[in-house]
Amino acid sequence: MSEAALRFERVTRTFGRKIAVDALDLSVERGTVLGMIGRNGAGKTTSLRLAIGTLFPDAGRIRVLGLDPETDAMQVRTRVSLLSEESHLYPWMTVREVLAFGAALHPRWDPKLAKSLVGRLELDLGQLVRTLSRGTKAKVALVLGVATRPDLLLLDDPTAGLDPLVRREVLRGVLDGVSDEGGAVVYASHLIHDVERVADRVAILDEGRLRLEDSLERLKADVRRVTAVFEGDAPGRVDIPGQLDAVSDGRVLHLVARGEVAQLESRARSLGAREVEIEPLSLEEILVACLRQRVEREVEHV
Amino acid sequence: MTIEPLIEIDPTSPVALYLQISEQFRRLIALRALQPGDRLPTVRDLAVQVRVNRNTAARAIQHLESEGLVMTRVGRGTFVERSAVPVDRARRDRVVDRAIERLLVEARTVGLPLAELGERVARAVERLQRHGPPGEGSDGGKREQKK
Repeated sequence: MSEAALRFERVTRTFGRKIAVDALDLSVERGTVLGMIGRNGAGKTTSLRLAIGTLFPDAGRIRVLGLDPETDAMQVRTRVSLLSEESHLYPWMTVREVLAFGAALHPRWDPKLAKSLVGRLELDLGQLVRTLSRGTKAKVALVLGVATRPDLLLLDDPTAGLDPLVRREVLRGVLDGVSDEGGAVVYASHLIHDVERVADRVAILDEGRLRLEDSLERLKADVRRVTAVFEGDAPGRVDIPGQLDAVSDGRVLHLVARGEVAQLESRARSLGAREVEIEPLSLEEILVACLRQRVEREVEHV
Repeated sequence: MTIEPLIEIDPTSPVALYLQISEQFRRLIALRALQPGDRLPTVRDLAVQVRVNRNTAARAIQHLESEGLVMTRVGRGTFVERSAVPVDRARRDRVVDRAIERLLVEARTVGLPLAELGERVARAVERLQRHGPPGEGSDGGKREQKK
């Protein structure tokens, strides 16, 4: 039980000339929820598919619950579930048949949990999959994914495009399904508020690389917005320790940086700022600050 | 009990989620929606209902324990403590109203715009929730805002 739920060591995966995942180091401890955020194409889906072993890396090492998804594929598939935005369910089956199929295939199927989820999600067992709405399909996929009591549950934006009530129920099902014995979750999503709710740790991915990884609470406690007002024009270029983003506009400099309040204030003052205001940030604002800096670097290189 | 509709949290707030949850329990106890002897949901149920991870739910309950509001009996559950009965509401409101009255008079005397006063109070509340009363936490959040 000592191995991490998931560990990536300098994992790289390319598709033709596109580098989807680039020397990625990532670690998810047991009993924790890692929120994975970033833009489209940042490498989230590829990372999750590498973790469950439907894709293999070009370089680097992956361990899932101490196992190698390439050589211990059966074991990994038994103990890990992946829930995606698009669920693949046989359209000609009824919900009951889909679940019976899942139960028959899976040695760790928990019929009690399946039953309680079916009740809570108000699923109609007699309905044909092809007649189900998108939200209902997502619920069926959820039951399939968590009734196996996975030790590692991988979520690839499973609630994207669903209405808020279904989203809530799916998120509840996820939290209910995680194994009590150190079950871990990787939750990749664009719904930052949901990530901010359920994650212990957050990984920000960008262009296949890890931009930032930390405890969500620490991140929110350490990263601050500094608004510095200058007598004349604010400096155009600044680079203070811990800086994630800097934009100057007239006499105002907006900084996003990690650091203690007193530290950040004295740094802003040493740049010549007259007024300094320091505020906390939400995860979404932290993400935007991380990604904007990259966009600006790119512009410079042109 | 179904606690979900009673516990409202804001994931975007800088106040840690576990503190938001324990504050909400404190509110429910003050409202007498939860009374001495009532059982709290288990960590797992709390996590599922409020949609947070289990570590957050466990910390919220630990926090309430450390404040003496609830007590966990091994194998039986977590219960609201007898001593958690709040002070009489009318009396509590009177005390707070008087303090607000004094604050308003002081602010007006020194010429502080009333809108700013509201903002400052909100910030002070936030600091208290994050760091505890001044002098207790690391930097007490005293310098969070400085002009």
